[in-house]
Amino acid sequence: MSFMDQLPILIIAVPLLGAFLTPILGMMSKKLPRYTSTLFLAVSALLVALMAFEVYGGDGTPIIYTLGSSDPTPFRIVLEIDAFSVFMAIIMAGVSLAVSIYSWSFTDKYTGQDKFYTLILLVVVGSYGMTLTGDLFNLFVFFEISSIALSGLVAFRMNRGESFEAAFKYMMYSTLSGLFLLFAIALLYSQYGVLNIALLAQGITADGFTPLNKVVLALLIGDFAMKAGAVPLHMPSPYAYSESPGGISTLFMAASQAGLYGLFRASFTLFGGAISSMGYAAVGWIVIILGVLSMFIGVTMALVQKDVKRLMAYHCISQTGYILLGVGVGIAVLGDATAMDRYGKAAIEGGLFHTINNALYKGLLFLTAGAMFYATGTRNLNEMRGLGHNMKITTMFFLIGAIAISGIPPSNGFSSKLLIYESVFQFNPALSAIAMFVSVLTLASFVKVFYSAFLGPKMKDKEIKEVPSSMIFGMAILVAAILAFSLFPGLVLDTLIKPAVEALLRAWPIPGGV
Amino acid sequence: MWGEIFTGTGMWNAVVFAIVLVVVAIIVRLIRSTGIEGAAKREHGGEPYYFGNEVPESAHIRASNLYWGFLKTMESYYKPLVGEHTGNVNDFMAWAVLTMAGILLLMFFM
Amino acid sequence: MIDMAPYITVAIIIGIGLYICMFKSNLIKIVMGISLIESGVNLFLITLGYRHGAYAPIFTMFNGGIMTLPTPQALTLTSIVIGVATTALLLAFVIKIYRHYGSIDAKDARRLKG
Repeated sequence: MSFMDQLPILIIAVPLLGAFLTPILGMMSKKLPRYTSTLFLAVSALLVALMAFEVYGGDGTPIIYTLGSSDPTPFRIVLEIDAFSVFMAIIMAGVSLAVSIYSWSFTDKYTGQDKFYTLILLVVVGSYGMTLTGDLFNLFVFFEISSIALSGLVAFRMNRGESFEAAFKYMMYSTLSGLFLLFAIALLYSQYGVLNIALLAQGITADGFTPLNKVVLALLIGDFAMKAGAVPLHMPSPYAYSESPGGISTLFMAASQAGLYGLFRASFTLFGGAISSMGYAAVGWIVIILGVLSMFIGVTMALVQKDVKRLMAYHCISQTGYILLGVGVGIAVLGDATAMDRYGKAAIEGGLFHTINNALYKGLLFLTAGAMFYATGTRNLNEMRGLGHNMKITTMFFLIGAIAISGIPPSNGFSSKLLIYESVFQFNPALSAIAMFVSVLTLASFVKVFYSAFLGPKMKDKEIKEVPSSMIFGMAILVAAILAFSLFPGLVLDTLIKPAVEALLRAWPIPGGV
Repeated sequence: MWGEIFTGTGMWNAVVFAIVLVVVAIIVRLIRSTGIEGAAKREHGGEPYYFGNEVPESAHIRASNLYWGFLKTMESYYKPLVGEHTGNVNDFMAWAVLTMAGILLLMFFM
Repeated sequence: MIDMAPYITVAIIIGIGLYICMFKSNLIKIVMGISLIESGVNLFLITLGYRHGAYAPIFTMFNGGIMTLPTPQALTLTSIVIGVATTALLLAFVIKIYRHYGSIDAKDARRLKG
């Protein structure tokens, strides 16, 4: 019963304790909740780093932790952590720390700040719970926690009606997708009698693809795609991204990546054995079609927007399409061992590397859009010009983010896109051509934002100053990570991503060895 | 060196690329130094030439008018696309149900 | 055939709920539609645990025979509680939309389009 044994549950419990304590501390003083909630998030990020050392240093078997006792039978709630789960938890830890430091001065003039930080801590709890659990119903409960807390954050500004409309639409979609997930869990429980992911995988591999299992997989793909925001299930996302206050869009995007985690866990761990033994390529093609639609429609809708945050939200949908394309190619060749060695593994590596790159540069771009809103008071691109004269640091950070997202060498966006292009080309050349065209259009729309907001003569009727230093510090964390990932992509690939891909392709051991 | 990635068919090394960029920048600097001294600091040194007049406010094109040519040619593609994003809650649900039906059909018949 | 009656009921309830969400334009009716879909899924969960001629799964009043499965009943309780929380939040949003916009028709509440 040492400290390292209790590590998995502490990662979920520390932000939960913070979420309960923050309203009490908010009654004592107005500024105290900021610093204590950042402290709780920093402690949990440290615990995630310790867990990463333990998992990556091991030999690849997942770490199993049973809640409530030390006897791992699969009828209790178990947390099963392998390299892929830790990878997603690292993304969430870094992004949440940057957002909470950024929000120190962004919410300076708002009332109800303690509730703001409570909701941020609850979203972080929901995401950690979704990525670290080994039990399907636990996944559902944390899914609902994170969607309720996120819609509360979207509706945070109560003086405008539009925020409530965006929050209502997002909450409707999340509830519907949660109900589909519950239906799929009920179907699986009725066939196999257990809720543990490892035991279910064993049962499904033995049964193969019966029609009921096909319905279950279709429901699971559908509802995780609704959470991640793939086209044509993307409808409420742009409104929710644009109406949320400053750094919350970044947190929103990191929580949507948890939906991608669920999709890959369902395809590789639950149904991987069935797909590879039957050589069934339909599942991979469904994910590829979702990815190509997201990429193309996302970026063409982004070219006509006037609202800077909605433009960036459509780009987020388009980058999610890249991830779905890369990993979809990997799923489509699961049964074929030679193709997997040649390009399948490289495609999955490209998709996962793109996930962490997307969180970094998209997060930075949303934070700079929040800085533009803080300085000028408007989000409409038609009314802004000449911000580059006074806001020099924000301009430089925006340039770094725009170069990274378009995939221009030597940024980290180029490394992950290179992996995706070269491996998808060997699968089907037309998909690779569409991906490159989408990359060109991405650059076009960011040139549009840079020209109309930062270049040109100064604005005459407003006084533009540089944003406060806590916001710059929050953005600088992400910029430092982007620069580090750009110069040493091989190091990141070998330490973080290759173990995650190996862990995805391996079957999970049953807790208790039954 | 450390940071190399090997895709199945190629190789990429970011440190080598950065060193090449630095070398090219040094060569550009050397070429620039053979020019006239202090050329950018004369009167009206680096400003846009507007036929001798003041640069007016309307010389900066607003964001909605920037890609006019591209948007006008693709009008027949954009009209139905932006028309579908109505913002009506009933349409959201219809798209969700239609997509789930599409995924189910693809799973069963492919 | 009488065994299939709960499953057919589940299909009808979820079908009616989806129809209401897709075609009715009053926002409160849409929230009611979501609540119907939730009830349908909860009914499906409980029906899965039933066995023929079984008693309720309470251990101390057991006197031979078989019991129905207790786990789906625990899952259903959790789901009902989550449903209460989401319905309350959705209705709170509808009240605030009425105060700002003046109407709760879905065709009017779309200032954010495009």
